[in-house]
Amino acid sequence: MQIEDLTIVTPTKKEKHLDMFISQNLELLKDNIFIVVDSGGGEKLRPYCVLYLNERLPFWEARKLAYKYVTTKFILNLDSDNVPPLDYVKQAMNLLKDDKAEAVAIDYEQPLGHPAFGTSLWKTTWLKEFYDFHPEIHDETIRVEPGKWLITSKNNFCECTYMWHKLKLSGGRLETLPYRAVHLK
Amino acid sequence: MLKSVAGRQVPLTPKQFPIRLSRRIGLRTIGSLGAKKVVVCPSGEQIVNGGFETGDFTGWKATGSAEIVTDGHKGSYFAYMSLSYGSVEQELPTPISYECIETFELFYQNSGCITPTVEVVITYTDDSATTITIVSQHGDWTKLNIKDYLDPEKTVKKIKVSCIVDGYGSVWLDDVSLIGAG
Repeated sequence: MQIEDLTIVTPTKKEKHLDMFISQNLELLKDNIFIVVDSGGGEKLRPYCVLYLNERLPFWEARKLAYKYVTTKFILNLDSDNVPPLDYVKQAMNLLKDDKAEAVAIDYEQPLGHPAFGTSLWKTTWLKEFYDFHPEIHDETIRVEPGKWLITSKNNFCECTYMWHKLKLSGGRLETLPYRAVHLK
Repeated sequence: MLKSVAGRQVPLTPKQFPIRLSRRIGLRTIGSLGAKKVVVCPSGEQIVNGGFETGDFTGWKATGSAEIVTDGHKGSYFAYMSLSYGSVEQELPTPISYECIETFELFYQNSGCITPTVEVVITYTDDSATTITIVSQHGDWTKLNIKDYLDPEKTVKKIKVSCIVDGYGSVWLDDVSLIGAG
């Protein structure tokens, strides 16, 4: 299924279900511009992509690197353990092309409780400008009781909610659709 | 053992032995001079296959989703735990007291949309334990200095590292190391 003006961006790192990812997303991968940033174990994706970058990076840096190479108007973030319904991708593209949203996203079959970034579609200009996710972890160690310690974060670490919050603060529109993506296990 | 006194070699007194020996072969002197307790500290690495470089769980007992995956923090392999639960544990060949531990550390990653919990349980010879629960997410290799959390009065006999995932994600574990102070 060829989709005009779309680039698929996939960072991968030690993904155990690449065969399933390829077979279940084949319609998308084989006909579209597909960029892979392989931080380990992603060689199987190489035959399907137009650009294969072998860089050992945290996933947020891998995304940033891939976005630099995108020249189409729209981007599909496709994490290497995600399978979005094809109808979702088609309808999301229509929303973006009709300027009804800056980003479109859906939750998983086993819900997170919020739309997932890992299968989201974006206007490229917005994503390139706004994606600056870089978790600065500030750990706090709490002695719960003698012999029990809890290491927790003073700041939240969730790419999805971070990006939706940032989009909203910037006046961008996030749309969702009545579909659920599969998260491969 | 001899010492030089006015140009002559004379034997050390018994009182002087432990301190001098501790510098040479790894004995440690604990307590006051009047009631010395000499502890023999082992030297070198005490964890068997802490980097999983055998490519399997030699030295470890693995349960649940735990498996060996290629690559890692250093070397060629690491332990990977995902889904709802996985754990690896190792009983030390010889229990080791706090004062004999030079360093005790591991490296981990835990990433996913809902943070996978890393639980490190250190069991002592009296069967009490120190539990370190990590709910802060780290998407890159992060060192946990286990010695900081130990009970200094006790002797370590076992380490267990578990991954608890309620959602999507995994815990990676590599280079578990306990270096004896001997």
